[in-house]
Amino acid sequence: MASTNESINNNLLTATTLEMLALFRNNPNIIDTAEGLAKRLGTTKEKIDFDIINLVNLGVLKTKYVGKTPILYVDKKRAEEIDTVSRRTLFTGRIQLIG
Amino acid sequence: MDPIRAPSGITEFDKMLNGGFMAGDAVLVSGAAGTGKTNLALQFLYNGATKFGENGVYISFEEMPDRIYRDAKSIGLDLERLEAENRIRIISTSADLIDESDSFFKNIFSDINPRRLAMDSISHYALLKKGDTRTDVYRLIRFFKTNNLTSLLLYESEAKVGQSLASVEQSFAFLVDSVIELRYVEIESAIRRAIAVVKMRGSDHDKHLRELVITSNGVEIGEPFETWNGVFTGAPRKRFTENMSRNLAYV
Repeated sequence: MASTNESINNNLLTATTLEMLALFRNNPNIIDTAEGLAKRLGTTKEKIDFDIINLVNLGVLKTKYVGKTPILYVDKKRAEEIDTVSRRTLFTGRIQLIG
Repeated sequence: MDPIRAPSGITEFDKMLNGGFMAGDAVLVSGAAGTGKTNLALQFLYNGATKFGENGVYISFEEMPDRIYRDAKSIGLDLERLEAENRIRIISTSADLIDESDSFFKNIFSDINPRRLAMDSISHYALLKKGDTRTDVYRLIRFFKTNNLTSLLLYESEAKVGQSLASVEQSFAFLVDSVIELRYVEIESAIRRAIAVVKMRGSDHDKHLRELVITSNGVEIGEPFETWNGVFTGAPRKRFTENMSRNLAYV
């Protein structure tokens, strides 16, 4: 499995992705649909689809089905790792923030 | 602790309930915004975990957990610590997901084995339902009972001072075992909070309307409004007491 640093380098971190990481840091027990997450961020699902895929690829968000509805929930340990490393690398300018 | 009771841990409130809620019951906690529903529910869960060894789950459809942690801290409840210890789980989700209660709650229940649950709010849940809300709420209540949970279902009522239960609340009131009503009352030109146990199946309970005060130590229950009549109706009148009649005799 790729290291946390490599994982971050392999994914483009947008401002929204970082915003979502902050959201999950403060609220680790969100269990919701993509639409529900978007609502909590004050935006629409279409605008965060890319970031959701990013966070799923990074292992921060997990998916499962509640009935027929796909939902997202946070892997707390992974979210903490990614959040810490992304903030450090962002601070030292080693990753480029897009969007 | 009496095994058939689920005490709130708020001494005077438990006295009103004759020892606590009946374990496994569904309780409707109705009141306008700011009357103390959330604080009461959080204290019920917090005390359950810390004083009675009963873990709890709080489901919020509106507030985010970080706001709930912050608000709870202001009344002396450290929910984050209990969450880290796996004794409480504060969950933020969308109301429509609750319909699939089995698969939604499966992991949560196996993680912390809760005995108490609070849902904030059942009015928000009902708002999203288009069809037969009563059937959906009934199914949800049955699900909680099957899982041996004592559940508080918070209902944000529109009733302000002096109004009675709205028709939607009344239809839910038939489905639940107990109804706790919180409301604002106007006494001598000041707004105060009041609490009453309106219904409690299978148990005697205090019939008085009591004052509810929110302090930095949480919810506290004050004395009944004994010197007033008509507080619940919104038109309170000072009761004519013996002392008053004696004083009048001097005049």
